[in-house]
Amino acid sequence: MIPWLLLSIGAPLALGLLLIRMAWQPRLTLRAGLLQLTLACGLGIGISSCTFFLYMAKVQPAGPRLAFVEPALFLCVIAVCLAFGRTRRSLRAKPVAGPSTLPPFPGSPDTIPKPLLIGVCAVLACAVAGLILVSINKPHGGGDALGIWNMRARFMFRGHELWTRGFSRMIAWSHPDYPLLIPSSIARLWTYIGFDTHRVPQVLSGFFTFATVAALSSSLAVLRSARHAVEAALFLLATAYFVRLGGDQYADIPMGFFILSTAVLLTLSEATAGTEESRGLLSLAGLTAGFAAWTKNEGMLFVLAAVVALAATTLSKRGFRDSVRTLGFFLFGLIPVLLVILYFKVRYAPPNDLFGSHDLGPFLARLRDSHRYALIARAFGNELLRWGNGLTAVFVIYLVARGVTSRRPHPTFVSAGFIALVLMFVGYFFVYVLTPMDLIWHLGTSLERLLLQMWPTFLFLLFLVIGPAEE
Amino acid sequence: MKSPKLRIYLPLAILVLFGLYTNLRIVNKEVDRLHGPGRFEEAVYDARLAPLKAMLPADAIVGYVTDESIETRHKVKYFYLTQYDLCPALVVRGKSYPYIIGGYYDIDNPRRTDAADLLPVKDFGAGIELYRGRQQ
Repeated sequence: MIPWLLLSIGAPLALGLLLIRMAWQPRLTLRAGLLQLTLACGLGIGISSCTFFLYMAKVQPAGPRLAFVEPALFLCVIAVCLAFGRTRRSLRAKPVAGPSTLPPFPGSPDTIPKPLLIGVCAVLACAVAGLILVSINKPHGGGDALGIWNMRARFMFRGHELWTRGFSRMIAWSHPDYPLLIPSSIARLWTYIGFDTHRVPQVLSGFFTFATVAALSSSLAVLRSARHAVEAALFLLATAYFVRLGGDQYADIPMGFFILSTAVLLTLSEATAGTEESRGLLSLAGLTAGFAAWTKNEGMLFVLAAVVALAATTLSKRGFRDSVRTLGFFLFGLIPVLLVILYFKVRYAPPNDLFGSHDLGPFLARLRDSHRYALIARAFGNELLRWGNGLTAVFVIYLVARGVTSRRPHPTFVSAGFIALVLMFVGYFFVYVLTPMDLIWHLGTSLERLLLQMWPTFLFLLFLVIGPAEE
Repeated sequence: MKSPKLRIYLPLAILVLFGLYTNLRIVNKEVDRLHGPGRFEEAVYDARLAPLKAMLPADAIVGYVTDESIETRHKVKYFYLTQYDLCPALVVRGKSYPYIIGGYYDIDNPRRTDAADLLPVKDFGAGIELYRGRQQ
């Protein structure tokens, strides 16, 4: 089992590392290395989930074994990449000393006081313990994990020629139209090791939870300072719902990871503007945005918001030509994943339960109902006020006491990130306006999770623009 | 706050304490659940369904009934677990199928009114039963 497990993890990780190293070669420090490793893992998981889905659709059950096909495919891709002189040159390129176009704050402290380090380690240890305990008490995960993600993975693993039963309308309660990054990743690992243990979804969810913390802190350590990194990570770890949802194996955590990865890669591409690295990073950002859409349907809203925000900010700050070039590289990474999603939606997925109806009457009635707007606005307001069971108050105290200074003008892609988040926020608002489900129930069961998807990215963008604490 | 150090470190101390408090609350709650009475053993439920799974053909479509008196969240969880364990067979709520599974939370209560019009095929014990529809 162990060799298969190592192969199943090693092959996509190697491909992910190659992609990220091709796109970005910073001076190798602990923080840059951690960021590259985290992003490479995310890329590897995303790519391998797509290849597993295509394997299920086109090769199995009569075709050759996954354990032979997939590593061979990944090795071929790696070999082809390395065979190009340009790839080898880019891997050997002189490391960039550091992000160049984000002007540093003068006197930004890059050290972490010992008490703060001890504090963050203690919070991290408690979060790890909490997540492990939730996982022990719910081995198959919370309701959505059991009824949607792990269930679909079981159909993919156990179904053989019947695997498409997982998309049957007879189990419409299981949302068979939801995309397959998580189920594919779980079923893929089960296929490699040969049995469907609940440890796989548990470890995968734990990975995404702490990879989000690692991506947030290491990216801020690279782009800002160690102090910014630790403080942002503390805010994320102090969000109890984030840790609990990680233990519950909900897909909102991986989706948040891919949204954050997109924002990080875009910011890195701006920091290396004018170099070859910048284009590669833009394409990888497109790829991770695609993986967000391959994780949950809400990811399509993120893709739309990201494209609109990128187009608007680059057009207004850099002009038409640069805007087209930026979008071109972003779409270069995004389109292959969108094609996989399109294939899944057209070939396998039943209509969506929210927007599958062709009857426009009730749809327009909901759109005109002002009570719904008031109710949703109140729910959004309440959720933000009591975010993290009191974290909002801690957040305000923190910002007021430390004295917030903001760097201006904001880098283009940081503005784009904020605009994308606002567009998502507005988009979610209108999803609730239009939902055919009971509105109170729908808000109560999903709003906190939707906001949590955006929370790591909001922290990343905020800590990018606020100055150091003034000592 | 006049002291600059205090202004910087007090909010950070509050943040660290808040982070410890919220995470320790999860730890405490989960430890209680771990040792608490009536803990729902998903592994035990999986084991109960194993002999039933062995009996069902992979392409089966089976109905599902449960105690109507139990809480909705238990009802939902039992139903999800049954479908999860019996994949790739499809489990559909209702009785209009040749075979129907009874999944009962209250395993000591013999008055399973939902199954009154069904023919028992096999009782797997611990609240799991297989029925045949009367019309079959």
